Amino acid sequence: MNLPDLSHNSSFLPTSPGFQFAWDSTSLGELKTCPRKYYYTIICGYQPKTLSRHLIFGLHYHSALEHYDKRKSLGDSHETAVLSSVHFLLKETWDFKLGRPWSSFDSHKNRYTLLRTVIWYLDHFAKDSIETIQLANGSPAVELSFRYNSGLTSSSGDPIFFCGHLDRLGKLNDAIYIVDRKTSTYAIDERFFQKFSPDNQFSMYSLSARIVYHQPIAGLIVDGAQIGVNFSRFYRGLIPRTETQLDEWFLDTSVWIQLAESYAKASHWPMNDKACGNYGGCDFREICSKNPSAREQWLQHGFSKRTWDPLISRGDV
Amino acid sequence: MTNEPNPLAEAVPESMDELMSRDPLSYSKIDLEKIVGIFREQRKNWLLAEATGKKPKASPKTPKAPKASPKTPKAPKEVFTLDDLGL
Repeated sequence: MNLPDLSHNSSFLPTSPGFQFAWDSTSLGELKTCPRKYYYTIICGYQPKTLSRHLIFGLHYHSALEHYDKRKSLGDSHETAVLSSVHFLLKETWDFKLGRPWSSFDSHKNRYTLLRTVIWYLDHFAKDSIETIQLANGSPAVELSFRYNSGLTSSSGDPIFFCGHLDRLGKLNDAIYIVDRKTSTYAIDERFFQKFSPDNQFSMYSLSARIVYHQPIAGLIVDGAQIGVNFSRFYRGLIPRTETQLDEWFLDTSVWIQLAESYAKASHWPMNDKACGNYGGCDFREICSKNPSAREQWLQHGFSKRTWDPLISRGDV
Repeated sequence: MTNEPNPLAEAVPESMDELMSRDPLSYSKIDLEKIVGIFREQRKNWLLAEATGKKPKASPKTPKAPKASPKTPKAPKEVFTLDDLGL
């Protein structure tokens, strides 16, 4: 398979073409889902020309709440931070070039329900029982980017790095948790929280927070938001991770990264044709269904390109 | 004195519609407080409806998903037996 020019992507080693040495949960997740999908999205950088409304909604939701956390950590009152976050969100969801707001054409996830969900969430958790912890340098543990040597190495001895971005570290009943937010158009129930154990993103976050911030992380607190047409409903769930679970995840990851190296050496990323139907169907299903010789043309026609570099990009939503 | 609502008061949906279609750089603090206030009022009503088990009124601003045309005929369901398939 053809390798694109990766000289501009700092997460790939120039000495081992096609082998990524800095991994975030998104790239690892794509590799685990389907090596071919990993090749298309991470190595080649293809993404659908139109981003999913769920992704756009999630990105805006996260950044507005992050904005609030930041304002609060700088000393703003709840009220001032809410107004600032709402203004931030109104600007973020406005196309200044075209002079119009973001339109999703979706009755659940749109600009209006986004604003409503952010305001209702902030009021719902205004008297939050989770206390943001202070890092050793005295700063509040919000908007945390991490990057560290995982201790794994490539076959040629190059160190493998893990990187990503955490929303917040908070203390609840004397235990320290990573706080994350997720949205869904479905009911937030036990099954919603069960899907995070096991979960690649949350295991990587738990392990990384323990290593980078030297905190005994008990797991994650997930604030789930159900987005209805006329309401937003919130539930909070605890997602525990034990030391031995994280050891197991780390061991599994070392095997996945060895596989990534073997794919790069063979310059071939096989399809996992059992994953094509996951989550409503893979974006690349149509591409993979074409004859190999025709795929590149279809990709160029139906997808746009961006660089996914975990050393500079934000992580998951 | 009467407790009836002021008929000249601006209706919420129009006010919200106008506010949200405005260039965000033009917002004053009062505009933002108004937006937040409208959403808070909705939340109050929603929480009340949840607590009393009543269905809250649909927000007039919320777009509705298009309904399928009633004229569209449904395709008849085909049922095959093993005999039909020669099995």
